[in-house]
Amino acid sequence: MLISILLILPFVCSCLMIASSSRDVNSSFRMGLLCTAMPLALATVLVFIGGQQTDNYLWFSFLEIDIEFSLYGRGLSLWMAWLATLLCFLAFTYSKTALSFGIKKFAVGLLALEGTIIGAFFSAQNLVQFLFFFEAMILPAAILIALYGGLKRRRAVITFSLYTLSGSIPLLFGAWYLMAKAGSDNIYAIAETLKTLPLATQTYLFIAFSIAFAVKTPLFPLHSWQSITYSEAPYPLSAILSGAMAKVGVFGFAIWTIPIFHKQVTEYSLYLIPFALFSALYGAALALQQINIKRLLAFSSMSHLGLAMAGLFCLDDVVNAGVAVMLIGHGLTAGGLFFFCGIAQKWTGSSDIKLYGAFATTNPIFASIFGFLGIAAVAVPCTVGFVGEFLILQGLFNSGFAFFAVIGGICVICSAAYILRLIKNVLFGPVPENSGRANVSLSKFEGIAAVPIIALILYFGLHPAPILNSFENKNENPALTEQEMQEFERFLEHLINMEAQDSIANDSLEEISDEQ
Amino acid sequence: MATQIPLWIIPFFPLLGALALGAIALTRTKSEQPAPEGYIGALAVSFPFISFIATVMFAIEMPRDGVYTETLGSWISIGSFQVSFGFLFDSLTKIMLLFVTGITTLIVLYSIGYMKGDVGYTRFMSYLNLFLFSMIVLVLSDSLPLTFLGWEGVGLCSYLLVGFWNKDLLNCKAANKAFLVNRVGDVGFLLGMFTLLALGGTSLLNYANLNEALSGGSLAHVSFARELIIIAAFFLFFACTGKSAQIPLLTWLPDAMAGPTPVSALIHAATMVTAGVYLMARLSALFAFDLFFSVIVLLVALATALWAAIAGLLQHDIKKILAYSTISQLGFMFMAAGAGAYDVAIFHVFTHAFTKAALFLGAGSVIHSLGGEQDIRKMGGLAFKLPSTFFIMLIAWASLIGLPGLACFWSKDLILESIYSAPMLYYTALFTAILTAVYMTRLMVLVFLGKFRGSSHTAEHMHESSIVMQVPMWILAAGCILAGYAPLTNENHHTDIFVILACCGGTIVGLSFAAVYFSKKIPRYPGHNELVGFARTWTFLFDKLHFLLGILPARIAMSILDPVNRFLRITMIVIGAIPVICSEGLRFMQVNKLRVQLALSVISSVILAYWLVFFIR
Repeated sequence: MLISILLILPFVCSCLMIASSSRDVNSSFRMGLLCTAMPLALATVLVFIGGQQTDNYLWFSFLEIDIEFSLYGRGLSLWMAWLATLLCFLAFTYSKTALSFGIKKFAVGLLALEGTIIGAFFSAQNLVQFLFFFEAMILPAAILIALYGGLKRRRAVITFSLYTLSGSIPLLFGAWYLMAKAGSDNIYAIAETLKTLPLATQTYLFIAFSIAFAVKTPLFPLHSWQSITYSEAPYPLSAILSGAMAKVGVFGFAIWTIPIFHKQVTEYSLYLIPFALFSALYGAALALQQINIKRLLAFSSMSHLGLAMAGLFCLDDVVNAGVAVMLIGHGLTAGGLFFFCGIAQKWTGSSDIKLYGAFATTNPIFASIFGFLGIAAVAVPCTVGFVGEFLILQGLFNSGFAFFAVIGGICVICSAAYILRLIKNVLFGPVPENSGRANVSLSKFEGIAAVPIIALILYFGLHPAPILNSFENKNENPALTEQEMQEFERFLEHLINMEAQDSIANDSLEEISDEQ
Repeated sequence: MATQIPLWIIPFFPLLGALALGAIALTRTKSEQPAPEGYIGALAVSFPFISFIATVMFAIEMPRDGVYTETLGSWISIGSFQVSFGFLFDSLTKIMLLFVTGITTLIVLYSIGYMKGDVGYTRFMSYLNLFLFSMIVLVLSDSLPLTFLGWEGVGLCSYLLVGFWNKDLLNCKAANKAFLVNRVGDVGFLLGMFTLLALGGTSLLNYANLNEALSGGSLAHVSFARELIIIAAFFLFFACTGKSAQIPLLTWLPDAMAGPTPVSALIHAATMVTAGVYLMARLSALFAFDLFFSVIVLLVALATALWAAIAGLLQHDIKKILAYSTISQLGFMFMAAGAGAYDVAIFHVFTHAFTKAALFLGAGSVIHSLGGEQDIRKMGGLAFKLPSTFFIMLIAWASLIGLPGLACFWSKDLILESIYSAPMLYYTALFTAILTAVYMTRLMVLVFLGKFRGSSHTAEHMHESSIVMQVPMWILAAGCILAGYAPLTNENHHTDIFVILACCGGTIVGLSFAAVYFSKKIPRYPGHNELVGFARTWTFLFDKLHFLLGILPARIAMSILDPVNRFLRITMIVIGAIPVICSEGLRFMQVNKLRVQLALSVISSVILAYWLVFFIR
């Protein structure tokens, strides 16, 4: 019930925002705050009650493929959706000072984007539904960049939308093929059908399923859209793109690619981990030499998510929980850094970090928050990033090739190097002359909105149990582990052998046994 | 018998102090009137003092070889992976905590005078309290992950305090270097923890369990247990070399002198840099597991001690001389640890903390009275101008070079004894001890004797430091005399009269040589203004080595990956351009040719549907 409301709510709010005044900025800002706060409140309630899920409803049948609709909000899905609502709320808070015009339209687009992102995170069981939201989220994001972006926004929009859309074409074809074979879009049915296919076909499908998510994350050769998009988008949007939307890529791997192609992932694990690690190193090396502040953050984001992907490929329950913690930590810190780098960019009117400096002297409160977020991005213990990195690195160490952890460690060192360089360039140094720094200061909303970010970073850093606990209930996690897959298979075999059509089997199971 | 006060009281008050002072510093930023320094200073010194009192109470109540433990709650807990916040107070913790909280209290008191009038006064006090909190957590923790929290915490505070005067980018560079070099060591710490995890799960991260497992032989059934233990010890030792500035990760410490002098005294001489020695003593069962490993530790320690002593001879910056001296003395501590005499190592940590803190505070007093001058070539003859500082530094000097009866004499003597069985090592260490006497005497002669060589302007403004700065210095000077009599070592160290005589004789020879030589040969100040802070005078290839191994590969990777990235972007643009070009070509079909388009789409739909229905199933 609540979960369905949470999915619909952003869209409803989006419609509500259309009704707000476009002339009176303050009134539409208040309205927007309310509209973005409601999904956050609802998501928080859901987190507290431990998540919900709906039954499978038949959505429509198409060419004998039964397309179902169900919402799944537990574990990773729920936490990611919560993160998305939180970041949208914060992003809207920052948008008042970030945007020079059209807060109302921004809120409309933002809420639509939020709805599609939540939809994608809640689609953990039905492929068509997931694909729908996965593609749909590009539209509001692209429109928002086109409306509010920087000077090169035209190029950014074309790059972003074409790249991500064409990246998911292989996924669409693969999904279509699999669904047609399975006669259903349910993840269990698809996973079962896959096993009947020839090995070569399985591998091709695996690649098809990986490319789309690798584009979204992004992983190494498919990342070119990212830096221009993040740097041209208005900074509240960059925070969402990096903090919430990029997570859909990791989520796709965790919920779709790995459970369906469990055999392939297990087999190629020792190739996939270095691949993800290379992506992390690549992002770090490029972040080290960026002078554009948002590009630096974009590559830092790529580096962190590459590390998270490497953790995901360890295929270990503890590490998976660590990945979730890391994703939440990255959402909070990268989101916060995007907000505050955006503010610095607005104040100085430049994106070149060499032209910044001395905010520690002129704006100490800004500098304190910025410095804290930077230190959190370095993943010092006490911050949430550390818990994630600790669990992931220990997973890499035990992944069968301990050297991976050393590479992960190099990424950690590099992250310290580029973040400290960023802090040094932005905060420290002599006060530049004629900068007019005395006139700028952090607004009330900008300051207050940083409080929940800082509080959550510290809270989850010292007490990650709320996140970790939601991964201990394995039965409810749709991302099947190996053991669960085996149990499921045994159950299925049992059903088939008994030729049971009795009431134990639920709808989807019946279908599968029919197929067989 | 359990005591009534909980252990978390000890770290709690500095944390409270850090938060309260931080809040004051933040809220006062824009106000015209700065926060009242007297009140802030009193507040800042009271929190460490409460910690000190609490520690003393625990220390008094604690029975001999007693252990207090306390678990506050779980930190990372999932499945069998269990890491908790737990404290452990035993005799090792007792020694460390007593001098850490005590010296911090004194140095905060000193800072009240030293930092007077600085814009960041409150912020500075907040950082000092935060540092004390981290250091207490490091020492008090009962498991490696929590120690790591303190370990990174002190590194962070070191970063914040080295770069405290952040208007000068050179200071910030020094701070970044300190953090990054430590970070390299920290990755070693992480890898060491992971090795232990691979060996026996999270329970092995707890010190008590680890020691039990190593001594009880419960790991015998694990394959490669011996190899894994050695690997873990190696990684953790690497972490110790980072924090304690040993070869190969020692270059950050001289640069870290860019921070305010109380910071150098507290963090980079007395407390934080000894964390590596503490960790080795804490994990003595792990480090003493294999003889081969002990030899490596000994060699690294000896090389560091000798190298830093030579480097100390060639410095002109008073703080850098003391910094290299610290590295050298840390080498002595590691020597004792490598020889298996962990109690002696901790004893030297204890005596050295008082001595070096007194020396640094004295140096700070000199720098303060000369208006920020740090070059010993521009000093001289200060003995009569700053008599109090002179006497304090004289006592500390006598202690550090090991004149009989003073604090460091006892500990250094025990260290030399512990490696007496290996003559090569022993004579090198003895030579290093003589060098210590030479460079320290050089410092004293050039600063306090002869004629003043600075500008007349400085000479006029010279003044003895205020009483709030002098009191902590005198207390520390008393510590330099008395700390050596603290009963911290085991009884079973035999005393060889030859070792004592050789040590004393060598020291006296060294100091008389230096006293004569440097009174005559006074180095000229070259005239031009040298950079203080990041710029170093002589680091003996290690900076170059770091450049070759760390920065250069990163630069090469960057210069390779940058074209790769450009190539990928161009590829993307080219592929993106293909549809555009095609669409230009196909435009003739689209413009005003509705029927053609309609026909084409109908045909293609039919083909698609046909294919779907008949081929897929």
